[in-house]
Amino acid sequence: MLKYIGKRFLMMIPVLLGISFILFTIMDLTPGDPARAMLGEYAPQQEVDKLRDELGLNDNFFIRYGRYVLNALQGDLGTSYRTNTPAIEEIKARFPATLKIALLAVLIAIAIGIPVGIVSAVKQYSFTDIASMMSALLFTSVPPFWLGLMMILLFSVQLRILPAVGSDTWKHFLMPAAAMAAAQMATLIRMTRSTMLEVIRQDYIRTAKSKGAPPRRVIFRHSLQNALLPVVTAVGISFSNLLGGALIIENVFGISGLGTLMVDSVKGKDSPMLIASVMFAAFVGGLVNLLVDVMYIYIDPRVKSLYVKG
Amino acid sequence: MKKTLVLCAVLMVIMSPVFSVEAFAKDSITMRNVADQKTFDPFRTTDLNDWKQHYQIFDSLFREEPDGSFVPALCTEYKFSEDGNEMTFTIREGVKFHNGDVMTADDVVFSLNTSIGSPFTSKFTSVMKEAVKVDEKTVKLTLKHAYIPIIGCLVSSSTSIVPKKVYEADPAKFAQNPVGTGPYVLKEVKSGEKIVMEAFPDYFRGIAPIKTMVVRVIKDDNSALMSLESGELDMMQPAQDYSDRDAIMGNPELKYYEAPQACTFLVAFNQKGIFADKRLREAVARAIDKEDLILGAVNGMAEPTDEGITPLCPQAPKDFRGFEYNLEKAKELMSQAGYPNGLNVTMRVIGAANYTKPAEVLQAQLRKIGMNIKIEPMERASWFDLAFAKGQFDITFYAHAISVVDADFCTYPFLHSSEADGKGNNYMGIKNPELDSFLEKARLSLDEGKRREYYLKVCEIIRDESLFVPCYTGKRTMAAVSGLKGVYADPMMRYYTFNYSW
Repeated sequence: MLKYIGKRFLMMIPVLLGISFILFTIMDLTPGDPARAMLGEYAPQQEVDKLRDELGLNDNFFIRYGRYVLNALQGDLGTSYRTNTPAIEEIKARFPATLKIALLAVLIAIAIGIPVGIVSAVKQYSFTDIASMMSALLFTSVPPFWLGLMMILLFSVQLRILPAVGSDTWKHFLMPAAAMAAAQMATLIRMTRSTMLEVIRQDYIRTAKSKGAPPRRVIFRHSLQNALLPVVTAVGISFSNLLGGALIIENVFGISGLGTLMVDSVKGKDSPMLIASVMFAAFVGGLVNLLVDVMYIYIDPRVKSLYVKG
Repeated sequence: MKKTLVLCAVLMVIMSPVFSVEAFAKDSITMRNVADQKTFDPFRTTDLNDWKQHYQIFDSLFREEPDGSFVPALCTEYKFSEDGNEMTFTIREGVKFHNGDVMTADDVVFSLNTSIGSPFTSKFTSVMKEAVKVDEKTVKLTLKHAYIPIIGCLVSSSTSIVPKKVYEADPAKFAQNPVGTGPYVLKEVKSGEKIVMEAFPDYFRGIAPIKTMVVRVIKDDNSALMSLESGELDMMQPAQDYSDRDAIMGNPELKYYEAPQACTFLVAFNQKGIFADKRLREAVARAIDKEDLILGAVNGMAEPTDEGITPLCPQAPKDFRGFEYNLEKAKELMSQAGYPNGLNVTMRVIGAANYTKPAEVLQAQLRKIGMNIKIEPMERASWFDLAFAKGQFDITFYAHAISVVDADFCTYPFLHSSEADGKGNNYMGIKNPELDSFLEKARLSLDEGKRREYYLKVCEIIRDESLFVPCYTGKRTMAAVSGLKGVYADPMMRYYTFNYSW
C-alpha cells in the first residue's frame, strides 16, 4: 500500500515538470513584457531593458527554464514579478479561501446530491424522481456566475441576510459555495440515481429482499455501498475542478483565492506566480485523486484484494 | 412543522448579525478598489490603483484641494529662484510619521532624491535634478530647467515623503509595512481582498473624521454595484462604460458624482507604416462622426473634442475646430493616396469595452470610405508590449490620460521626437521638427500667455498633419451612499479620504 502511494507521488514529478514546461513556453511565446508590466506601462524603454537584464529575461529560453527548474527543486518557486513577494507566500495566503469554498461546495453537493439521487432511484418515475431530474438539469445548465449574482441580489440586496463580498466570516462562504455546488450537485444526483438503479436490479438485492431484509438495510447496506464507487470518483473529480475553477465565483464574490491569482498573473505576465500556482493546484489535484484511490480500497473489497496479500 | 419553525428561527438568529459593525458604524467607510494593491512603496509603482491608498498613508510637499488648486502640505512656504531653476521649501515643523518620529529635512531630501532616482516615477521627476538640505528647516530642489507644472509634480504620491531611517533599513519591508505622515495608518492587508487603515491620531491636520477605512478589491462591476446597494460598500468607482449610472442615479440612497476626465480618447496612427501617408490619416479624420461615435461607444456620456490637448488643461485652446466631417472629401483622399478600391488595415486595441466598443463604431464609420478595419483586441500587457513599446500596429484607439493638468504633460512625452523609437511615450513615432520646436518653447517658457500661443500652434499642427484624431473626452465618476460627505469625482482619480465625514 505504502509502495503504491510512494509510486503515485513519484508519478507527480513528471506531471509537474510537464506543466511547468508548457506554461513556461506559453508565457514566453505570448506577447507582453514582464519587465514593462513591473515598471509600468509608460516606463522608458532603457529602464525596461535594464530590468530585463537584471531578471535574466534576455537569456536563452532553455537557460531560463533550466534555472527555474533547479530553483524549484530546491523549494524556490520564484518571486512574483508584480508584487515582489515569494510565490509560495502568495499561494499560502490565497489557498485557504479557495479550499474553504471547494470543501463547503463539495459538502453541499454530497449532502443534497446523494440523498436526492437515492430517493430518485428508489422511487423511479415518481413525481419526486421527475422533479429531482428536472432540477439537476436546471442546475447543470445555469452558469455559476449568474447563479452567484442572483443569490447576491436576493440574499444581500433584497433580504440583507448574507454579505455579498469578501471572506471575513463563514457566512461569506455560503453563497459562493452554493453557487459552485449547484452543478456538482446535479452531477451527483444523476450519477447516484443511475448507479443505484443498476445495483438495485442485481440478483443479490433481490435475494436480500426475499430474505426479508428491511428496505432501509437493502438500500443503505446492500445497494448504496456498491453504488458508491463511481460516485466517489465523481466527488474527487468535482473537488479537483472546484479547487482550480473557482475563478469566476471568486471574482463575483470578491474573494482572493487561487483562481484570481492565476488570472492576475496571466494578465500581468507574472510567469513565476502563474507557474507556481498552477503547479500547486495540480499537486493538490493529484493528492485528491490519490485520496480517492485509497478510499476505493476501503469501500470496495475487490480493490482491496489487489493490494493486500492473502 | 414545529421542527421546521424551530429550524427557521435558529437560522434567523444565526444570520441576523451578518453585517459586521463596521458596515453600519458611522465612523468607518468601506470603499472599492478594482485591482489588487501591488506595493505600498510610493517610489516603485506607476499603478493608479496603488496611488489611491498612497494618498491616505503618505503626504507630499503639496496637496490638491477639491477645487483642483494646489496648497502646501508638508511645506509651509516655497519660493522659486529668479530663473525658475531652483525651488526652496520651508518644511512644516512638528509633523510626525506613523512610528512617532518627527519629519526632518533629511527625510524630505532623501524622499525627493529616491523618487528622482526611481524609474517608476520619472513621469513626475524627469525635470528634477537633485534635492539638498540647506538647514534643518529648509530644502532646495534643483531643476534641469524652469518648469511651470512643477508643483503639480510635487502633489503626486510618487513624490511622497517617507522616513529615511525606516525606508533605508529595508525597502522591501517598507513596501509591505509603509510608514508615512498621512492621515491613515495601514493596519491589515488581506492579499487581493481587502486593506484596512485606521486614522492616525497624531496627524498634523488633526485626526480624520472617518476612523476606519476598509478598501475591498471587487473586480466585478455587477457585484460592486450590488454591494453598494446592499450597504456593504459606502463608496465605489462605478463601471467605466457608465452601464451602472442609471441604477445608481435612480436610487435615492446613493449619489453619482461626475467630473471631466483628464484624458482624451483618440485614434492613433503608426507614422512608419501605411499611415505614413498624410492623406490617409486625413481621410480617417474626415470620416469620423464624433457624435455618433460617442453615442455608440459610451452611450453619449462624453464630449466630442477637436483639440490635440486634453480640454481640462488651462493651455488648451478654446473653440478650436478640427476638420469637418466630410465623406466625399475623405473618399477623394483615399483615391489620391492610391486606394480608390479600398484598403484593409488592422486595428490593435486593448480588449476592454472602453476600447473595443469605439473600435467597432469606427470600423462601421470607416467602412463608408472603403477602409476595412480588422479589430484585433488583446490583453493590456500585450498591447503595451506590441503596440506601445514595439510600434507593431497600423492604427489603434487609445485613451491618453494625464497625471498633471498641464499641456506639457499632455504633449511633450507623447509627441516630441526625442520620446520616439522606444525612448519614451511617443509610440506613434511622430517626428515633426516644427512641432518639436513649439513643444520645447512651451516647456521652457514661464509666460503662460506665450505658452497658450505655442500650444495653439501645436494643436494646429496636429490637425493639419492629422498626426492623430482626438475624438472625445469622457467623465470621471464616483458613487457613494448619500450620507457620506466630502465625496467628489476627481479628474485624475486622486482622493483624500481625510475630507470625508458622515
